[in-house]
Amino acid sequence: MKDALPVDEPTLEDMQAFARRHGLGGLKPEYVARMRELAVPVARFGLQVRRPPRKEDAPAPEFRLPGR
Amino acid sequence: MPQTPDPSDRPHWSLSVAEASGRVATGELSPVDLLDSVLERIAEVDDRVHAYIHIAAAPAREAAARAASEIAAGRWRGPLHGLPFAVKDNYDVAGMPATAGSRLRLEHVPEHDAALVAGLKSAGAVLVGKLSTWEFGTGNGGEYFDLPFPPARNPWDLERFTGGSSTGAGAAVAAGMASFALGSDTTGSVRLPAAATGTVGMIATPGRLSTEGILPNCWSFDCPGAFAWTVEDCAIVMDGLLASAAATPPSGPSLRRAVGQPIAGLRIAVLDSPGPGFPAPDAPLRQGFDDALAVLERLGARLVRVRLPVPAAECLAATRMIGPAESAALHERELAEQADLMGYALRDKLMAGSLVRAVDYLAAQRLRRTVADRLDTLMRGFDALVTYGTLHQPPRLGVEPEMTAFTVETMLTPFNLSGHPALIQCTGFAGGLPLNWQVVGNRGDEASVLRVAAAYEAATPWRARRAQP
Repeated sequence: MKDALPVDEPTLEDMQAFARRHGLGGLKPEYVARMRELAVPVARFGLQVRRPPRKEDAPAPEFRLPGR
Repeated sequence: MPQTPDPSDRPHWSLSVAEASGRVATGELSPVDLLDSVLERIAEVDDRVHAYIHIAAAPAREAAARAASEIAAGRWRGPLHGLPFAVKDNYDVAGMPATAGSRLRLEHVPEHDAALVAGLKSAGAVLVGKLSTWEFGTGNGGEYFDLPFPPARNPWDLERFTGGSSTGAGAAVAAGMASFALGSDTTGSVRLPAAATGTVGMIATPGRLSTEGILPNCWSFDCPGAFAWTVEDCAIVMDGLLASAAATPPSGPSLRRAVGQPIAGLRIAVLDSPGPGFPAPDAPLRQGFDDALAVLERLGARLVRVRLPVPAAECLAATRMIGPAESAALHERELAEQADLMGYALRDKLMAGSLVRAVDYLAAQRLRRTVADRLDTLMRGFDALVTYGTLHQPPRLGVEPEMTAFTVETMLTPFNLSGHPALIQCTGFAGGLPLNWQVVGNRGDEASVLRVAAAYEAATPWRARRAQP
């Protein structure tokens, strides 16, 4: 697993714009500041997830036929 | 080996489900007296433990009196009839607050019972109340003392963490404040508190037990689970749940019949390392694990060491995409409009989930399929698998790095990804705190999990010791 992948930290303005774009424009400034702190570890965790080698390896989402 | 005193010499609250059930069935013990003893125990210790959010003494007394009348009239419904239980506060109970530990839901009173609650009531069990939980049954691994209810404390040491998110369920059973309890597990939320409190905590194969009426946290992983003091008790409760409220009707003999069966000749996989990326288990847990393996060998099991096909740290990375993203999707409106009312841990998780890229979420779901396929292939060569549960002993409550390490550095998430039934049980004590390991079975084979765990339990003295908070 890759331990320290390079991920740029967003600026506070980046994060405010992200929040506005994604329906979170009403969050308090301190919450947006916390989201900025979270952005790097979340991105790093995402990049750490091993990608299966074959394109045919599909995801395993929850799915049930209606009515069953 | 210390022996458990004769049941007749012990207070009713300390009776196991099996002990109490046998006495209730014969009329030797009244459900009313059993409930009174449990309510007295709650009054005695819960102002220190904080396992309960809501105690429903009056309806419980009515249910216990009804059970007593029915049994006296020869209408005994089965081994859970008249037995007092409690549920995590993310379960709906008609007419009872279902806050899920949150300011956002203080006024929420459901009209219907969760399917599992309804099933237990129809089996004659007596609901005592609702139990503490992390907010919405989720969080970031820590406790921040900012929710409307105080956090549950570990009955073995009140300055220690109970594990989450079913914080009250393990504490209540360990302290004798319920004969058994129900919780829910997304990435360990039944098994972590069981590990921390020295109780038995079990999740069945996902899909076998209904999640209807339980506040969703993560569609991919949410799974109800049972807490009990002994493995036999857990089997009785699982039988009750499967018989009356299963998402899939049970087939085959009762799980209780697996308890007491010999394990000589069973092939058991031994998974003794989380792989790269996680620390080694704490020394007392390693010692407890090795000692427990020696017990299985003495009982004649054939042990074979195996490796985790995908390291536990990689499994954690996948769950760190899937869990927060699905929670953020579930509670999107609440985050946008009511973030101020949330505690730090829930808000943190939902904000993290809002940052997860769809590409990474899908990568995690692709990895899940790999983990599930490889673990299933491995498991099919064995009757059961034993491994660590947590890698750490219960940490100090309020010390965030210790609590989050306890929560995330575990051997639990691989089996949430793979969908295998799993059980945590006590493997001894160190420094007055319980040790634990995990027993895992093939999909649909809860019986073998209980068989192995019961054989271990019967050969060890750990059930003779009770927490005295």
